[in-house]
Amino acid sequence: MRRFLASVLRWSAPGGLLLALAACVDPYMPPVLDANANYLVVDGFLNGNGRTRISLTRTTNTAATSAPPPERGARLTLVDDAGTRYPLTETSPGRYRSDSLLLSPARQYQLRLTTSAGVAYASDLVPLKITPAIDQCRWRLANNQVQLLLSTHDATQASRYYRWGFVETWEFQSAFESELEYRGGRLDYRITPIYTCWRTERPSAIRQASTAQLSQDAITDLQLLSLGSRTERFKIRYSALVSQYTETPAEFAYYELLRKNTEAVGGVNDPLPTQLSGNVHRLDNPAEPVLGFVSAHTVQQQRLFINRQDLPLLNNLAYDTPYRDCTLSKAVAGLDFSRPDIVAIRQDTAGLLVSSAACADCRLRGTNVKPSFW
Amino acid sequence: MPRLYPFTWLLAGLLASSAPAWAQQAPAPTLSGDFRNLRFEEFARRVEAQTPYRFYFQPAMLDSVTVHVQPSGLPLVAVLRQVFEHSPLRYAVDEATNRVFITYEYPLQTQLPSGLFGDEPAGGSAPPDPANGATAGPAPGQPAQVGTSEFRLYEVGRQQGLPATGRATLAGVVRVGKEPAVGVAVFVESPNIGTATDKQGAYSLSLPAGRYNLTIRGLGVRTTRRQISVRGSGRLDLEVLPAATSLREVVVKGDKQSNVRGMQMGVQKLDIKLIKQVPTVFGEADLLRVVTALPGVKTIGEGSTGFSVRGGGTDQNLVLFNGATIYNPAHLFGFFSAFNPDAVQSVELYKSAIPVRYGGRLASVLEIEGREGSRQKFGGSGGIGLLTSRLALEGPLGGGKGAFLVSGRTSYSDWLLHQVPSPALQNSAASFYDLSAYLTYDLGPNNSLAATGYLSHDRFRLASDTIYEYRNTAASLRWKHTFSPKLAGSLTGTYSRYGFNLKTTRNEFAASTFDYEISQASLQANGSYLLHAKHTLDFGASSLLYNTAPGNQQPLGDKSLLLPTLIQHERAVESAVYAADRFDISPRLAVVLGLRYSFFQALGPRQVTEYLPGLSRSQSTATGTTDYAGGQVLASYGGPEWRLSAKYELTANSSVKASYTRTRQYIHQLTNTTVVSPTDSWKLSDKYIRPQVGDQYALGYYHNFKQNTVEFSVEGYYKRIHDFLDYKSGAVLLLNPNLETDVVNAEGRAYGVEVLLRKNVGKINGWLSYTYARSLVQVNTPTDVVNGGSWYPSNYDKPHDVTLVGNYRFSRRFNAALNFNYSTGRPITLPLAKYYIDNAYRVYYSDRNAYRVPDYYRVDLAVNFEGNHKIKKLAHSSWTLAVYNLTGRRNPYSVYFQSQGGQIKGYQLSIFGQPIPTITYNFKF
Repeated sequence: MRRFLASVLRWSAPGGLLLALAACVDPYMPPVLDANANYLVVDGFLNGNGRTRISLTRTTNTAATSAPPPERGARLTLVDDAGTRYPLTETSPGRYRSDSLLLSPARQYQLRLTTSAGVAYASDLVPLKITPAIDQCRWRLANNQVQLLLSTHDATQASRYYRWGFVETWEFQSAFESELEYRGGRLDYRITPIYTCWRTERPSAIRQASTAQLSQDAITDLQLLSLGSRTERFKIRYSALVSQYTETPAEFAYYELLRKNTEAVGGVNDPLPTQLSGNVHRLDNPAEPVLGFVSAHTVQQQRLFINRQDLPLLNNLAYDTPYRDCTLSKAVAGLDFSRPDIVAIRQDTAGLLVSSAACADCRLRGTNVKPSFW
Repeated sequence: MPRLYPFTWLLAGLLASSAPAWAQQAPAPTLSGDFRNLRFEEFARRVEAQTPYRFYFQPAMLDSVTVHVQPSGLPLVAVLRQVFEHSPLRYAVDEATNRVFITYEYPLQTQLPSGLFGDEPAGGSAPPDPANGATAGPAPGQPAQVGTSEFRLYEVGRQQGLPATGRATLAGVVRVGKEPAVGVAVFVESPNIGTATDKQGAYSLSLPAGRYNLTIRGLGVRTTRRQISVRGSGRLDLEVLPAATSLREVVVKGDKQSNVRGMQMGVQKLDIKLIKQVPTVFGEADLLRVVTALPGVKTIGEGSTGFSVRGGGTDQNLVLFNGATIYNPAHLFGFFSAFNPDAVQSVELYKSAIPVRYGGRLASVLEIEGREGSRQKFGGSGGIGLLTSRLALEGPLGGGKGAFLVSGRTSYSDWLLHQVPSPALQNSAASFYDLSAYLTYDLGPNNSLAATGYLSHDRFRLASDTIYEYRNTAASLRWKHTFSPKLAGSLTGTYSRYGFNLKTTRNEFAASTFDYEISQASLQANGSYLLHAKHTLDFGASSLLYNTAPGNQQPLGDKSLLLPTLIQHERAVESAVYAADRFDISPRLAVVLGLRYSFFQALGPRQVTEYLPGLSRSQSTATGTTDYAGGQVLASYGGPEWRLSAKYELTANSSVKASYTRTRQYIHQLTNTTVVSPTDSWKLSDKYIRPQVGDQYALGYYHNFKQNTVEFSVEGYYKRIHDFLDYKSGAVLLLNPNLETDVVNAEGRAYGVEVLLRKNVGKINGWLSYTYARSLVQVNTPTDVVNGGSWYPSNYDKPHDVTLVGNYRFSRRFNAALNFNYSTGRPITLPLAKYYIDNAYRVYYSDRNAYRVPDYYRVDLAVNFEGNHKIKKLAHSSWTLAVYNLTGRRNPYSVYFQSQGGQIKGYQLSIFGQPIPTITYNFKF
């Protein structure tokens, strides 16, 4: 409802209608937006049971199109409140990794880092939260929606705040199975499979919940995701890897704000956004904004599969896929098959049929390598 | 002043030119010789020897005068002028009889102006020589003499004819041209004797003999006087000039000095006449837009009629139409105000020193007074504009004991939208109308009734999937009663309702309707008692019952799968008792001591969620619920509201005033935008949402120039606001059953100086104002903090503001109006940078309201042509041509950021980014 209203308000704020006669939109670029925003961004958490992976980048100004520049050559150390140090090493530009560690829940931890320019930063000391196991991750169909439901509990009553991450993977097929391949300067029988692929998405939506108001630290059948049953995800096979993290109240509040900040980009008529940085500070200048919240917890994961047969059987055409509008056409004489956007499909009695790469090559939307867990 | 001139001339004529005037009859004798070092008596004797002149004087008065002249062939007057040049003695020469009179200080009048009785000269009123006495009075039976001139002395009667009583009767007829002047006063002032003419224009006065100034004054007659000398009974007809009828209406002004003398401060009153002169965007007089041009009032967005008074929120203004609250005084996203200009008499805005009878809102009271219909004749007025047309009809009721005025206005923007060649616009719709009726009736000299009804309705659809509708309904009935000359009272009952409705049909499976409604019924009794010459008491009591239905979402159509949601209703009573004493301590110093005590009770039935104490209220800190039965009080608040003010007049034209005003507000508007939008709802105070309390201290200096036609004032204020509602980030305001979890209590403070120079009359009128104002907010509770808990600018913080509203009348039929407006841009929160974290691009925002949009600047021009002023024609009409935003400056209405291909781009939208010409036709019959 709110989202819908927000969109309407955005519509009405221009007052669009009759004032289209007089209204005009100009670019607005106050000088402050041109200034080279260059704050440090710390992405990752301290893993209590495994490798800690931290990614360091810099912010870019809002109009930038390039990827965020990685922060290379920094020295990162995981430190506990007793002074024990666990170093991280840079595996690729801006990405840092520790050895596989088993941290003691009795201690508090922080991340310390020094950039190649010699500037020192540290995150606040945080307790290590031990995440209880996921009791059950199941799905059910209701109102043509596939709902992912999760149950967990913590008998020690210590978790209380939970956040979940997902990795969705599904098998899909392109619109047409290509039998031919342009190879060695001519059309030949296809060797590289481009019909069946696996697509992986990591939804950026932040999903968290709290049991603080419950007498039991238990979550039963919490709906994590709700997906239309006609989406392409369920056409062949779908899998979701759910990761569960236990949070401190501060981290919970941080993600709650981050979630709300992300929903609407701030205009005069939008809800007021919040300035949100995190728990990392520059040691000699605490006023410098540093983005990111470094917490310490263990991770519990569970994978779930949904096969097409598990759902009420649908006609192939009933699924929403991006290939719905794809068509086959006859190749015109002299068509250049070396072009990457053309895929020859097959030789038919009618002639040589072709389609666009977007319709025939599934690799444009995923990988043709079957995942290990499939 | 000009009245003095004839007398001056008369005197000069008598003194200086009497000789030449009479020279035609006989050459005036001249004087020559040496008259040095002579006593005056000797001088007179020698002159008498040389000429036929005879001197008349008191020797004792002149025994110290020494003459020192040496004329050669000079007329006597020239010689006498030299002699008495530096002396208090005056001389008069009667050339006809060759007599010279020397008097002290005042010269003797020796004759009447020429032409009075032919060229026959007359003696003074009391000449010592009776020989030339009463020759002038017409004999009885002769036609009466006619008095036509102010500068002649008319003699009436013969001395011999004076009756034994010593009083003479003066009679005659007063005429204007040939017509008798009926009912005209004819009087003398000393002794005070007068009469009025009868149907034939005849008058009759009984006067003692003597000289008088007879004044003639009356309707249709130019006030004049006649000098008469009454010697005996006689007739004198008086011919007078008609009074030229002025085409301009007569305006009785009672409040010309209120700027300086009145107790009010921070009050601005606008007459509808002035409002109609100000150019507006669609050519239609818009009272709210003119109000926003007053100092201390800030608009929120260009098209919006939402306004902030002295740093307060848009919900802190009480808008009253004839006493009834109007919740949403705007049409069409706020581009029009919801009041038909033909139905409005005046608008009064109280910014500080709010009288005790008003309460319930923190920042201001905007009282809109409906125009009373004509008690004389049936008539109407209206206008045809580009987007709207309006019509008002008025006329007498009960034979002039009362009057009615009904008015209506409607838009035809729907039609216009469909002409625009854009599919999105063709699928859109926007229309509104408003109706009002105002009846007044006098039950007797001491009782009067006034009834008002008001309805406004808006309906619009954007790009075909959602229909919005909102409606204001208001009614009031007021009975005024005068108990005695010292005690008067009124009883007012009002009912107001505001509701909106959304219908969404984008997806038939999710089609829904949403309804919101708030209504209030109130009863208020006011009294005013003149306790003592120095004490005036105002007192009263009021009670108000609120009912709200905060949200009801229902599926629309058979296919809709939406589950109905109903937010529980709210109900509350707000009451107040109040009294104020105006105490005039001295003619210069006066104070008003006022106290309003208001209290509020939130009533059941309601289910209230309980939260863990000491923690931020959220779903995670809820502990359970408590049920309250119908009528059970679930929360009550109350407190005194002080209304104190003082005035000290420094001079007749300047004064200093100070005031302290406390206000309490128990109802809060929920809006997640700063522009007043159709989905803004109102929330009553409850167990968790405390009332807002405002304290304002104000000090001002007032000065009137040029006979009170130019008003000047400087007002400074400092304001604290406690517990106004601010929202947590991403607050959900509609259909939120636990609204208390999404709002925080904020503290506000505002201060500023307002300078106003205003001229209400004359060819040039209007005002020029400059405002420096700051408005700051702080959210620093143990659980919720914005901007690190420090003070930050509120959305209404626009420090500098210059406004000119000017009107120049070239002639009765043509005037031009000019608007100029400059203000600092409003604060904004900017996205400073973007970054990638947790699998998504995020935006790093600045501190809340840390930056500003570009400054606002606009000039509008309007010209108004009136038709001719012939009395007899079907309708009186006028044309208004206006250009809004003459310079075409692209002022940002909205600044927004959109994510496009990974870039976040800023845009500013100007709604009126180019000059907008409009034309309106107004008529009156």
